[in-house]
Amino acid sequence: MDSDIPYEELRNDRLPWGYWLVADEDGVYNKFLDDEGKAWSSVREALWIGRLGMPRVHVKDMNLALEFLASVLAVIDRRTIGVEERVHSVFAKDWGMDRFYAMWLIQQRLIAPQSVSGLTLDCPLTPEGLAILVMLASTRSIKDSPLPLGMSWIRARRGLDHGVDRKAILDLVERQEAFARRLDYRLVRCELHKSPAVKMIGIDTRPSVPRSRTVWSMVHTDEYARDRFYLWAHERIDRWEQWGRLARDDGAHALTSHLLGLRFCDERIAAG
Amino acid sequence: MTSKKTKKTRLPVAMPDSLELAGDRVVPLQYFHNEERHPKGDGPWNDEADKIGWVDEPTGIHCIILRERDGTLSGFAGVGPDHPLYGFEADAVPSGIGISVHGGLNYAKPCEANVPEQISVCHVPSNAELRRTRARMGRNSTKDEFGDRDLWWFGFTTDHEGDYVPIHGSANRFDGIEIYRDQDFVYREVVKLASQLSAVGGSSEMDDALHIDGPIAMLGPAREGSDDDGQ
Repeated sequence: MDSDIPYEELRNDRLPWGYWLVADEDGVYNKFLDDEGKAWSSVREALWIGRLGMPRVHVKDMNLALEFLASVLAVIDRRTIGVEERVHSVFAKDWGMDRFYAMWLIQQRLIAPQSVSGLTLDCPLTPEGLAILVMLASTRSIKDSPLPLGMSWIRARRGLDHGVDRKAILDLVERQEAFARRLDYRLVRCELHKSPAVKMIGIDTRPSVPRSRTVWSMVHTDEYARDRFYLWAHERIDRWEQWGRLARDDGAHALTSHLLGLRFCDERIAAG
Repeated sequence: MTSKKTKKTRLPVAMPDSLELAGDRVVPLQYFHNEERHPKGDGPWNDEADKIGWVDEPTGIHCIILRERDGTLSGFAGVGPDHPLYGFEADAVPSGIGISVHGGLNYAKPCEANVPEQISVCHVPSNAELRRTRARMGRNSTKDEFGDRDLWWFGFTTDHEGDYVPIHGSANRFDGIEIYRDQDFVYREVVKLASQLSAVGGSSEMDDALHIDGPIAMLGPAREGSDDDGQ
């Protein structure tokens, strides 16, 4: 792509990145041709090598890196979580990595800096960044369980009431709950010992007969407190599987600690 | 702690019709002696079995006392698929719902259907089931063939600080007194666990309406600027 011409002037930025690739029916391994005649085995490979200039690596490593890129772009796109939570959760508390990744995305023109001092992941996505996010979200493997990426939460909050539309939130939660049934781990509401609770359930495939396991739970003082937590967690549904694996591998206390950390990452301290 | 008794170790060999455990009369459904695991030398374990399985009468919950490799006794109670804690990992059981046993819960697994019955944590058949199965399989069969009764077992061990571990002999693992947690002690804890599990009510998953009549603004406000990002 010509580096001087903005993506949206060269391409239709309403379509997923790579829509211009054509199928090469003669290709055995490389089945997609770009408009320079280069052949790629997948749209993802065209992005990874052809657009981002990354080295040819094993497809598993490439997809791992692209899944991470998709997650970061989705977090930026949603813009519902604060900077500290992003660093804590997405970049494993590594502030240096957060800033380095921001600069790489800026250099790749996937996010647009608002000023010289604002070289952070708080910059909005460029049209090409959004097109790449849509493509990556559309080409995920079955194993990677396509997560609802995008602006759903933001949209549910828009309008004259600034998102206090209960029906919109209830509808959205219903859709997300239906989606979550396909995840390896998901949070559900329940009642334990007459107390409202939330638990993280998943399918354990280690024994010969897969069975449902509960790897984490928390009881709350009343239904309102429980459901506020539940909705807070729904805003972060893209991380439920990661949370489930954390509880499975490191124990329920590790997830409790992680959630507590997230909850207070961006809490402002009242002065005076 | 060790016993000063000098009598020779006497080991139970046949399943008694009933047992007295901590003052309770219990009908054992599984009763094993396991020479490999039974502590060597004289001690309070002399007259103890190495596995006892029974059904706790007040709650109907299946219970097991099992000798571990280190000579200590562990206790287990199994719940069925309808129980709200079925499938919970031990550390996922929330505090505050009344589950409290010696050293804390540290075991949560399905029935060990493929482990030899004398060392397995697995379903204890009821008398009626035992009769039916024996009629089907022959009277001499003791094999636990009740895998279809899919219990989820919670348990605890008695190898914590302050507990005497027979395999370590007189070597004191911690400062202070160590106490051998005997069959009666573990029985009382298992029965307590069964009672606690029985008292836990609840639902596995609920789909009733969300309670968001309260201050919805607390649901986790979008960050500043999120409404004007032009998406």
